[in-house]
Amino acid sequence: MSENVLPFPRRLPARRPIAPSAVIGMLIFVVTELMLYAGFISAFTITKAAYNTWPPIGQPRLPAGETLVNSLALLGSGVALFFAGRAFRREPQSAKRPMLLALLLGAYFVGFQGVEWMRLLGQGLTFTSSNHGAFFYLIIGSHALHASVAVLALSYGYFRLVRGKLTQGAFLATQVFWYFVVCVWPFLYVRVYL
Amino acid sequence: MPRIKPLLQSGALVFGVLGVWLVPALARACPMCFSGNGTNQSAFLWGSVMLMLVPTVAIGSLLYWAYSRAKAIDAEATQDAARSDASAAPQAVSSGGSPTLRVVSAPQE
Amino acid sequence: MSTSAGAAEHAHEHAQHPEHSHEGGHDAGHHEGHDHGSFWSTYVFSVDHKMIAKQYMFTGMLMGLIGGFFSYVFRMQLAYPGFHVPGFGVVSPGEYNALITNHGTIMIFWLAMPVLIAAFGNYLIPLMLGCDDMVFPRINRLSYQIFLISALVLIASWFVPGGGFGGAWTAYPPLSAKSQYNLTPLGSTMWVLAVGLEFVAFLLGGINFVTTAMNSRAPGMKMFDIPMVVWMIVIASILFMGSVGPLVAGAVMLVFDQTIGTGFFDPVRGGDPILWQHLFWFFGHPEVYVVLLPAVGIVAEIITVFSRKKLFAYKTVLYTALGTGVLSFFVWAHHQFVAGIDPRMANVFTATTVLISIPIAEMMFVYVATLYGGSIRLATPMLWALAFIGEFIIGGVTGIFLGSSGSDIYFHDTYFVLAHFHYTFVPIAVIAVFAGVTYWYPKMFGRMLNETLGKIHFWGTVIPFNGIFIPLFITGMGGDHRRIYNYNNFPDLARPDLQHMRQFATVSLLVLLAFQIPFFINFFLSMKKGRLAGNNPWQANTLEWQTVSPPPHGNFAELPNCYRGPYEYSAPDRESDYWPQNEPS
Repeated sequence: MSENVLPFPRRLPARRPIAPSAVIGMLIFVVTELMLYAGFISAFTITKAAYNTWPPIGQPRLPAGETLVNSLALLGSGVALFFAGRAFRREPQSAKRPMLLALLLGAYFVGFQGVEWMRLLGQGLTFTSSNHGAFFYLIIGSHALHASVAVLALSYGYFRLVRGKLTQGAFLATQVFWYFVVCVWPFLYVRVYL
Repeated sequence: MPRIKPLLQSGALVFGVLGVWLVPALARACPMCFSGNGTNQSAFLWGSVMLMLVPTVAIGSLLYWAYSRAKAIDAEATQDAARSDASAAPQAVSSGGSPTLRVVSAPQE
Repeated sequence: MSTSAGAAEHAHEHAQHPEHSHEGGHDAGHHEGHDHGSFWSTYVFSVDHKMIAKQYMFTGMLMGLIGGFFSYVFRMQLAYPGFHVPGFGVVSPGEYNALITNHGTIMIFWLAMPVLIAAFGNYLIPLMLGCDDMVFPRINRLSYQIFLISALVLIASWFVPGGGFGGAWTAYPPLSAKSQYNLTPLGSTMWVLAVGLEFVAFLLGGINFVTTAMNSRAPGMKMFDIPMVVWMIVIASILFMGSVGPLVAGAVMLVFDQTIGTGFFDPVRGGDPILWQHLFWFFGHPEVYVVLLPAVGIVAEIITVFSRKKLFAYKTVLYTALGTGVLSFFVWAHHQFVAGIDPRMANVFTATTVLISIPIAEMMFVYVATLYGGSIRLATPMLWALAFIGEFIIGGVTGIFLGSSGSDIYFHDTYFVLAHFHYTFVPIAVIAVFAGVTYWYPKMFGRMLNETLGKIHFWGTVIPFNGIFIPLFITGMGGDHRRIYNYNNFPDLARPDLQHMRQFATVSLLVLLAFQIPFFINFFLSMKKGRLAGNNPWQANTLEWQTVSPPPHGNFAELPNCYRGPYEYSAPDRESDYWPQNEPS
């Protein structure tokens, strides 16, 4: 092995990627995450079916109305990021404003969820109080975790964009992840809150 | 009535399959049914259906997308290859030699 | 496309790593520290896919040895209850449970997965696709590091107070969820944690494999020019990632049940223990195909090379693999036939389970058809590949009895089940792995293995393997229940005829383990003293054989173009009977 002297590559052949690697990697990751939520929802459905009343006796109802408003913020941020994507394709710097809007709406969603949780904890819905609370904090909590990570990723992307260093692949990958966070939410909302 | 026989046959087939599928339901012994109203049963059923459909649809669409992209790119490559006169890359390493093979540096452009 | 300047300066310097760019998002960590060769950067924190593959392989082999030792200890206890096992001592019931649990866990998650998917995937995918490294080399390194941590957590779990987890590798609650039942408050949580970390490692690895296979094919390599083993590893990775989610969900719930005290699986608090089985087997069954498909791919490569024939039906194998992948999401509940699931569902799952044997059988037929009329060379890798086909068919055929809900009521949780899945897993995780290791060893280490020692090892492994598990089929049909510490407590099962079968299986295991010694002698001695291999000792077509052995960092002196499919052997109007993929026509 050590005696080998290899020639220096003279000409590098063209390789044809089918999409930016970061996007493919993120798409595969999103499929895995989707299955995670499928598992959660399946488990929740089965557990809920064992109860005659839901929420179980002595447990508070979830604030479906307020969360609906909050959901609209999240969906709005998805739309904003969509327009950011279109702007990015045209001229990267023009994506700044819609991206900032998406970021702020996302951050608002995460913050509002936090406030709501504090209230629910005060009403006696804790992780160990019943399966209702356990599943709520498990499913909505893992979504909140994903949303927080996505907000951090968006802020990092925004930071890179301002400095003019955001690559197309990285932007698209962030977009894919944020769409996932946005798109999975209505299903969780309908299943868990209603 | 020439058409009644195949109708009867297919009807028998459908009912036969349904019977085979439904009769074992009598043998059900639910160890975890607290509510006793079969909701647990249907929840497992629908949970299973969801767990089957979500990955097949998600992965299927992802693969289909990748497949169509790859196909387009393969076609593109074939076109490009046809256009340019087969500029074959020189063999850098001959096969079957010893690992102490010395390869002369290819000329640099 | 940029070309960095400067040729190799002296003999030790490998080719500069060409910065060919995969568009966007390319993890540009390719050659940090590589050519400067400190021990740490070369062997521990390497981003080179070949080094990571070897790390996976050696870690997997080490864990496999531990798993083999565990099987030796509990087989001795089963054959000679209360015996003072040399090297371990008298086995207590708790230790017995921990041994069988960790044997299963290790063999599946720390031997089959890392060696078949991670090691071969890492080693072969970039080489066979004709590129220089994975698309995300640093994620690749992270994947191995997380895997190593997971292995260390598992090992540590055996030494904490209470001992290792003993709830079987399926970890059914409530036994696994409550420490007052399993008596391993720390061990069970660490076990779940280790398995979870391992999933993260393979998730990262799998993303890498699939992305690399999609984006880094050599110019000219069309979809149907990709070697079968690459396809198989990619499909297996996709299957893994599609199925692992629900189990991760279940594992999180289980950890919360164990540590915080939630009641997800606790019937008293409205939870459902069958829910765990549902989530676990949703992953657990596709997992079988996750490890099977790479093994099948390895066998495809070897069979074509050593019978000098084109793979009989490339597209059929590919489509049946895809079909297996789709069907594998529809079969999991056949593990729960006696757990109280809806009998109508049991019917459906019986049908799908029997269906899934069709694509697998089709693959085996394709392999036999490939052999037909070929000029077969019975070198060691070929022997292993043929043994895989033969032994795996036994495993597949016995599965039909277990997949049918009627007969499964009798066979469930007997040694028949155990013998069945060992007849599938041993061909996968041992026979196919040895096939792959002996086949690619010349490429990995630049020297040939000794054929005589290789054949001794082959016969010494395959014959005792049958000696272990054929008696266990019989004891299983005789009613031997699994996971029993001492059969003397069951007068029906303590009959001398059954006990002799158990002893025969144990003695066969001892023989099998003893015959692994020639392999390790061969493996480590040949690294230094073996005959030099040359680039292409087997005269194979695929791209990894067209570079030097072992390939340097960056793999190819010049990244190859691809002109044809991987299995063009014995082309009629050519002098040599093989036709490398990168040779211009």
